[in-house]
Formats: sequence, C-alpha cells, structure tokens
Amino acid sequence: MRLESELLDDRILKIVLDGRLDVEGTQAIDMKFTALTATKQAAILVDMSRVTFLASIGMRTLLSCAKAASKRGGKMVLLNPQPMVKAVLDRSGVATLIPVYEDLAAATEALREVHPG
Amino acid sequence: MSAETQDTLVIETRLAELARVERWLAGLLQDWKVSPETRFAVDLVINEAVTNVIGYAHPEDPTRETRISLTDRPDAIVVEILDTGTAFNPLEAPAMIVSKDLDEASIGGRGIHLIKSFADNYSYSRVSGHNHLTLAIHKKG
Repeated sequence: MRLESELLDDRILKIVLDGRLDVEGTQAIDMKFTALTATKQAAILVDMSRVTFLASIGMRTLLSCAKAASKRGGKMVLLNPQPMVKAVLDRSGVATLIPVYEDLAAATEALREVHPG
Repeated sequence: MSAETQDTLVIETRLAELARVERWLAGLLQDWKVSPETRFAVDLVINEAVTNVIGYAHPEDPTRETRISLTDRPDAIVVEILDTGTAFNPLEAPAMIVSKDLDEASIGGRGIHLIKSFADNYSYSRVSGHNHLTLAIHKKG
C-alpha cells in the first residue's frame, strides 16, 4: 500500500492511494493519511483510481478523516474509484457521506467552496 | 467424478493472519480462473467475516484457530468459516444504521451489511462448539 500527496493550486490537498485497503494496507497508511488530513488544508481530494480492494477497515480511516475535516469546516471528496471499490462505497452508504466523482474537474469544483482555515 | 474442488486454510485467530489469507486466496482464485468481479466479492466477504470473528468471537486469541474452506462449484464459490469462539451469529447483528449526515454517521458497523450485500446466499449454524458461517457467491463476469 502506497500513499503520495501533492498540493493542487496551493489549496487542494490531493492524496493518491495505491494498493489494497484491507487490514494490512490500511494499517500501513492510516497514520500518514490521518496526519496529512489533520492539517489546516481543508480541501482534500483522495484519488482512489489505484485502490484495488476496499474493506470496512479502510472505510473507517476514510470516514474518520472526512468527519474530522468536516468539523473544521473542510471537505473530503473521492476521485475515480474502480467499479468494485465504487460498489463497496455505494452499498455501505459511504458514497452518500463522502462524495465520489469520476473526473478531476468535477471533484475540484466540489471543493471550490472550501477555504483553507 | 466430482465437478467440485475444495481447499482449506487454517489460521491463528488474529488480524495479522489476514495477509496469509490474502496470498492463499489470490493463488487459489487464479488457479480456478475466477473472474475479477467474483474474486473481489469472495475476498471482501472473507475479510469482513474473519475481522468479525476476531472482533466478537475471541478477540486476538492466537491459541484458537479459524478454518476457512473454499469450494469451486460450477455456479458459485462457496466460503465456509469455522471458528471455536463464543457462539455468535453475525447474520443476526443489528442492521446497519444509515445516516446521511457525515457528522453524525458512525465510522464502523458496515462489515456484516457488506457480507449480506456481496454474498448471494448466507447461513449460520452453531455445531458442536463451532460457529459455522457459509457464504455463496455466484460466479459473474
């Protein structure tokens, strides 16, 4: 499980996750993901396109960080999950809590209203 | 001649063993030429079920074993999970609480719902001191 991050337009924190968000994969990125999303950068874009597997333990980390961002007036969105990962997000109800977008333009547009604290 | 093939893995009941489950599963489902979509569903229900066994039946007790069996049937992959923990029927767990509000939503409580959603048939029985969970995933793709 790998994690890379970059700042888009000086205001959106983009995090690319790569691998399996199962128990082992989630434990591997949980601390870094939590630390990154706990900064003042309130607009968070998580690129899910390279995530090949997602179990409920992975959704715990996503939800916990999305909730923390929301409490600070921020927002997290997910970008371009693979079909089965999207099915897990849909059927677990997580897609209604953390918005999912299929293209970068729509995802960044959804983060437009968010201003870094 | 039987059209079914079966394989079994016995693990210690602790989360770190899931890495071994993943390797076993990947090799087996590839050998059986199971489609990626069905593979994902089998992988998911096993992950959720084993995590659940560890959480409820016997928290991190490595002296107890969990036995996972997979059967390749013409129409479905059948998963059987047998553990020696406290009697616990995951299929009777309370329904997932659906919240549309991120601030109020719980971060957990989705595992059993996912099992029921991705398995086409499921059943539980308590047999001579064992929890026996059977999950069937119809072959797709």
